[in-house]
Amino acid sequence: MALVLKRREIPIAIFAVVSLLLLADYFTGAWPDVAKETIGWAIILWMFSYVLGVTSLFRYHLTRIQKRSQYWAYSVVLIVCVFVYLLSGLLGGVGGFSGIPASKAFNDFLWLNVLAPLQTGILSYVGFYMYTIFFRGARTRSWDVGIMMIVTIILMLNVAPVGMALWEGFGPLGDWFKDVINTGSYRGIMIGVGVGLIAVWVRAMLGYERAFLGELSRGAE
Amino acid sequence: MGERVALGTFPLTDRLVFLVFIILVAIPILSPIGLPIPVTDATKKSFKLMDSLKSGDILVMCFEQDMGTFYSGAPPDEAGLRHAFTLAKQRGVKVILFGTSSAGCKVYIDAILMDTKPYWEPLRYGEDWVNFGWLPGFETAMAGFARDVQGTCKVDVYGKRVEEIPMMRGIKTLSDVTGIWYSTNTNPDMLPRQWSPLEYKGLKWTICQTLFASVPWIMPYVDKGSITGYVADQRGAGEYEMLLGKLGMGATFMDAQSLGHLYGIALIVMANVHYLYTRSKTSKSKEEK
Amino acid sequence: MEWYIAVIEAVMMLFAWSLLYRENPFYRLGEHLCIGLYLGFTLHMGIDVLLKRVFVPLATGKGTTGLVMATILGLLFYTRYVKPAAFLGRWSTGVLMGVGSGVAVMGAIKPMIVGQLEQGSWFAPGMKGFNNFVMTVATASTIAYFLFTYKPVGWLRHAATVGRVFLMACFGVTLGTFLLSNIGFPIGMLMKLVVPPGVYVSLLAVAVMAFDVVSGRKRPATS
Repeated sequence: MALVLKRREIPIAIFAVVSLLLLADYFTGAWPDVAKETIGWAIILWMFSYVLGVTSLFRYHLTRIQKRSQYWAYSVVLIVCVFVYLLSGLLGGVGGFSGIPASKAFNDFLWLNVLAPLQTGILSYVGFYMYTIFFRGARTRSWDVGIMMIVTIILMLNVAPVGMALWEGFGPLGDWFKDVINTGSYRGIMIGVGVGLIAVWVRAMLGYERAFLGELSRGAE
Repeated sequence: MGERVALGTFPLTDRLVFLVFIILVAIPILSPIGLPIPVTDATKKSFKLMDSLKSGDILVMCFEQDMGTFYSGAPPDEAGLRHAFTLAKQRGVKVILFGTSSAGCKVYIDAILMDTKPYWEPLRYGEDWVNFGWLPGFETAMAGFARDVQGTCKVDVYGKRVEEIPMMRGIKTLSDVTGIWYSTNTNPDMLPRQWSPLEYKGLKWTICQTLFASVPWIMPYVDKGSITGYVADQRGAGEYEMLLGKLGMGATFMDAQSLGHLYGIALIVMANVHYLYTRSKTSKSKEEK
Repeated sequence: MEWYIAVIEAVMMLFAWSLLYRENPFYRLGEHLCIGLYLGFTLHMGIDVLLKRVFVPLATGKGTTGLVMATILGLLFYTRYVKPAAFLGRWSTGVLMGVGSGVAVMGAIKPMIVGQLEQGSWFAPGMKGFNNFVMTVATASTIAYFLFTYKPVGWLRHAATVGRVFLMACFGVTLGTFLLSNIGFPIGMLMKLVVPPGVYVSLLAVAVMAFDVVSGRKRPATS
């Protein structure tokens, strides 16, 4: 019995039944209350799964400290930060219960004045890398890349106010590329993405895609 | 005298490119140029949609953002919030706020509420506006909200149950909502998939506030009416603030954006001129051989 | 804002940006601070929503049978740490992924596929008709370009070539709009780094960099 329960077909069957139930309700309207309840369950499952991802990163850094790997001291900083933030957050009020105001103020300081600038700073690298892309990669090696570069420059002058100050035509020209050429092409891409989404869903129902169960997909074995 | 040690991750030329960018962009911040920001039809349309809200209409503002993209997402969202709270005060529009992405959207909402405090402070919480914080589940939460608002929202950010919030009575599904302002820094596909005005009779319009990089992606939806309007990034914020008649963060950024764009164009031109020059030199030396 | 808070914000931003100069202890410290605080934040928010929406309603008798069932399924996620019972967690994953997929597929059919197949009239007055024609050609040729089921020979090859032209123009639009989003982040940060008191922290950072460059010149060559 235990061996039967461990079979991978059971979670795949659960996946298939749940998604087909939602689709059947969408097309027929047969059981809206069941569909609503199922979606409600998924939201609750999301909350439980959210915490899971934290534990693996935690274990990785604890191992680094145990083994005294290179830069292990920074892992100590990381673990301390986790506990400082968590403690100040829990003492400051959690789950709708009010807590110690000073702890809440310290917690607010940590996310607004320490975490937020660090996150913004790390994400802002993308802006700098854009310029290295232009500097190193924007070479017109063929006619099609040339088309791309010309349209890029037109759109950059359409988007920035200085473009319209230089020549008013950049506005309507850029808008035409965005509203007509771009829309037409993205429509084709979107149809492909939509069909691909359904294809992956069918493969998952048939058991070919098993990545969500933590296994290799059939064919990749 | 020792030789120069190679310094770290990036080549020297890349670091010079970064330095020139920082200097160029810092100049208009210290001394604004004041270039006019032409208001596009897209922002005008979104402004008109928001302005069409009447007494008793329900406006949902959903934020799928994080603090990492604060400087792109916050200017237009703060402009939208200012407009929404002004409408709540002047016309009795009801405003519902929440976020569906990661937990970061809760602190993002807190941050933009801090900046717009003078606008919501005179209002009555629970009767004019309500904040549900983070509703976990991404697209699943959006699907749940569309079908069962009370069951999905359950408690607000302070832990108060939805049954005890006066303005939430009578709001059962998405058809009871008049308009949606959906702010995203990642995937705008979820808005037309789950909250399309073509699917829900009572829902009159949806506005997508997104990164300018996502505007090409949402254009097919805008063309078909699955998304009614859009406000994009800092540029959209500057335009929206001009329509509101009170300039804020968005307008300040646009001068720096202009110089940043000119710098990008200069780099593209320089790179291509250098490439064509070296290519002609190489082909000439091959011919000579 | 208090001056010391602005100084701390500027210090954090410059910790992150110091990687643009080179890998250094300040960047590593900032990186680990960021990850540590974000992990703590994730845990705090997770506990907060679970208490508010699950455990407090259950404890105060306001929970439904559905809530109890969902809670049991949610707790099954944590059986992954108990090897003999780890298979139970996959059942909960099945439910979660099933709902996620069902919801996405439901939404994909109309707006992403069926809706996009409709096209406006080519004979509409003015530019509208011409634009509709161009959009139809762009859509059809893009689909032809991505059609890998058939070998691109004959008319399909020509259609794919036209599709390639439209796609390159489309990517040009995307690249042109990309810059505004991505340089928005550093511009926002520079607003705090070039005005007092953040500018004093920036000048200190420049001095540290200059010292590093000068001391780098004096270091012996490494093999």
